[in-house]
Amino acid sequence: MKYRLCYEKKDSLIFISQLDLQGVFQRAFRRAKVQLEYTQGFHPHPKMTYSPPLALYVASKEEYLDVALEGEQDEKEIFAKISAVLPRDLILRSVEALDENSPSLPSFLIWADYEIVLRGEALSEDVAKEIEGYVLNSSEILIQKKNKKKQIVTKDLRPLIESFAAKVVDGEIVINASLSLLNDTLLSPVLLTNTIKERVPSANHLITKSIVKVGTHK
Amino acid sequence: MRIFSFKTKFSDIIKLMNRINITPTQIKDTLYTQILPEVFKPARYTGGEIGSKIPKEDTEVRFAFTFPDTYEVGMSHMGLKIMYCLLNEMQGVTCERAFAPWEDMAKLMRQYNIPLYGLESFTPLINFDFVGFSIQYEMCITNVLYMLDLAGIPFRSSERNDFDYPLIIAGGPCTVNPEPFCDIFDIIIIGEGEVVTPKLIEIYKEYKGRTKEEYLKAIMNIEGVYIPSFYSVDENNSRTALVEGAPLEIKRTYIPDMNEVYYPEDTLVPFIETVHDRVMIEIMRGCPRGCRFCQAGFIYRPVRQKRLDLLKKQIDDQLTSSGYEEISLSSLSTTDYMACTDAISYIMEEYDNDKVSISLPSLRIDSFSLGLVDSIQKGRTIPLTFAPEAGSQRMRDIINKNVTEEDILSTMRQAFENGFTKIKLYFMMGLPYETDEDVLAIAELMQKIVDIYFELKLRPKDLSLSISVACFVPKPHTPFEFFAQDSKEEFDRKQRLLIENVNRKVRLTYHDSSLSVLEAAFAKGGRNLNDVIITAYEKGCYFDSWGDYYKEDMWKEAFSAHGLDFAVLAKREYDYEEVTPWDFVDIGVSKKFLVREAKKAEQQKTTKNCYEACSDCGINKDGGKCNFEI
Repeated sequence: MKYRLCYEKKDSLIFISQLDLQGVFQRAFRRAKVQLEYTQGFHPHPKMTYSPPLALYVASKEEYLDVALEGEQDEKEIFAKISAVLPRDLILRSVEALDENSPSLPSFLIWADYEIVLRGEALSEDVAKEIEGYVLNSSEILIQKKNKKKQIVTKDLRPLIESFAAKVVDGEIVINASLSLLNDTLLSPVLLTNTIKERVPSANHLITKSIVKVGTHK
Repeated sequence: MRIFSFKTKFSDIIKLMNRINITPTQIKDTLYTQILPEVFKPARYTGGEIGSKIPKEDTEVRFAFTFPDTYEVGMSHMGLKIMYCLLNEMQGVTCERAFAPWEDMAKLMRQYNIPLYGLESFTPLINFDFVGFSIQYEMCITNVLYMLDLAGIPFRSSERNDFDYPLIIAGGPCTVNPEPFCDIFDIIIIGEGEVVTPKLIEIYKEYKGRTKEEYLKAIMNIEGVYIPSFYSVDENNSRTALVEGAPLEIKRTYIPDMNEVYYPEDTLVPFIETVHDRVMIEIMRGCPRGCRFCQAGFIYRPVRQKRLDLLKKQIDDQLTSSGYEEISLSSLSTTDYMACTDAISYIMEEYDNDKVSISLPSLRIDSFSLGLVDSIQKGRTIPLTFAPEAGSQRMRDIINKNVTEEDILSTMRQAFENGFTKIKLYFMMGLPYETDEDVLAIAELMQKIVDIYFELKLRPKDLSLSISVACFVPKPHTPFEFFAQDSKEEFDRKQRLLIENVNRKVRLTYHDSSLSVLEAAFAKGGRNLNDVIITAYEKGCYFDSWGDYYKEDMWKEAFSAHGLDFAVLAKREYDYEEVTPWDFVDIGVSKKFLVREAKKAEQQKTTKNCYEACSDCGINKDGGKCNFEI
């Protein structure tokens, strides 16, 4: 039986990569004595699927994990058992049983909202306006990036940004941006932040992914 | 008011004051927003793992367990996991952890004025009551200074007046010769720390508010406790007590019954992969074999085995509380644990559903061991690792490695027949009485193994045969403590000789000869090395055992700055009657026995293992024999 877990990742856990997080969850299931279903064969693996990997240093209020468990189990019971054994900065928000009609993870994870906070000297309303204008008024935002074959390619970030707003709150610039979450066009908020920070080099930043939105790409 | 040494610059004092005044919250905030996003593997520096403890609100005594190597190495150490849980179970005591930060982290910590802190609460180490270093190998000692430096704590015990600074303690196997680094520490624990450390803390509670000297006097007669500042030592290693009643001989402390040894119910589970990332359960302390080069084989005597029912409970506790997918049964010689097969079948049966795999370190070269590995494979291809240690039978007799060539070859044949293709063998060179023929015998033995492989009609594909040849380092409290080490030039010549003669199918790795010579100088050194270590650190030596970080020239300079040469120190021989720098440490085994074993080595005579016959090593002082029933 398959279940969908929604969890929050924050504080010390933002320094844990997606790969290490898989180990954290597998061990949590064993501690909770919630029996995982494994693939057959010589090298059995638990059947687990995660939402698109979150970049390092990004906190998230909504991440997903689909997992196959042995037999049918009560959602509330799974929730209680797993919650009790997770590290303190990994918080389970819900457990939901899946059936054939449930949408797969990639089919509904389209856009995500992020809050990007820039901290530093002289971050005025004018700077916020300038950043917002730069992103919204550019027809393309080109960056150089190494691909998996280590070749340098040019990538346009603009179509991957659905919305973008920057304002000053308590001397910090708070950016709310909605970025693509689709597998092949995923935009890392770290990449966007680094591009923006070329305009405010002295600032440092904190990023939180707040919510995943159902929708379609334009 | 803290007291600074004359060398302290005014700017450093200001920095230090800032460091002490910085709050844990400020440290955490600076780490999260400024430092950690810039460093490699930031999870090394945040804590919060499963099994980590939240500091108690009513903490009376803060203890920092400090490991002078990286997070990944330190978190693989079983002693840390045991002591961490043990101390945190004590009322009013909080134990935190600190590891040596990698240099990218250290650079940013200095830039932002962040002192070294405990991972649990981000409290600066300088504000702890105890800072306890685990000295697992000689060359980690500069990392102790590196960590003290980052913590803003003066290096020498004599520079740390009263309780202004934490008490700096050392423990771990290297303390069986504590002299080369004794000036750094206020207290050195020799032997097993589980019983003595809580005693030190309890007495400390009573002495808070009094002087450091009064406290040290109160603990100086506890078994296993050594207070270096209470003695003066002359050039003949003759000792004088400077404090009335300080014992001239320090007894190693150990727990006679393995079933009485504290073992935690839960364990630390790191978020990132460490060197030994699994549940580790001790099945036995000590080793019955008595290989003459092996320090562990003497300093952990007598052999003490854990009862099977207790072992099963500990396996259950640790696997359930950690959720780990792998477990290792740890000892110096796995198959010498008498309930070894039972323990393995227990894990295989009980934890099959959870896909828990087993790893077995320290296996002997015999068909029984091979059978065990075969039984735990479960579709994985486990690399086989064995240690014949020497190539010729003559040499194996000299070192008392009771393995015959026939054992080795038949085990290898059986291994190939059973489909094992990844095989790694460990050897040493530079052993006492070694000739070039003995070195070449390693190549000959490997040739025989290669021949066996190709003789087989149904041989497994993709043979990967590798050997690691270490440079022998004579260690204190072994029968070889009296011997000189080979020179760097001899090691290099023998390494070349082997490279030219070993079959090309065999992948050969060997140790840095210069680092091994330095290691020998420290293993057998005396008090005069304290100054050398501090000079070496000031010149820029740390992480010495991390390949590229070893700076031979700087070490040479540091020795010559104090009129010494480590190549000469490593070649120092001791007569059987002569007093060594470590003779005042009574590890339990008698010097008479070590001399007897050294003489037998010369005659190429072997000694039976403890199970077969008692060799009267002296560990059982009542004259009785050890009891090996479990």
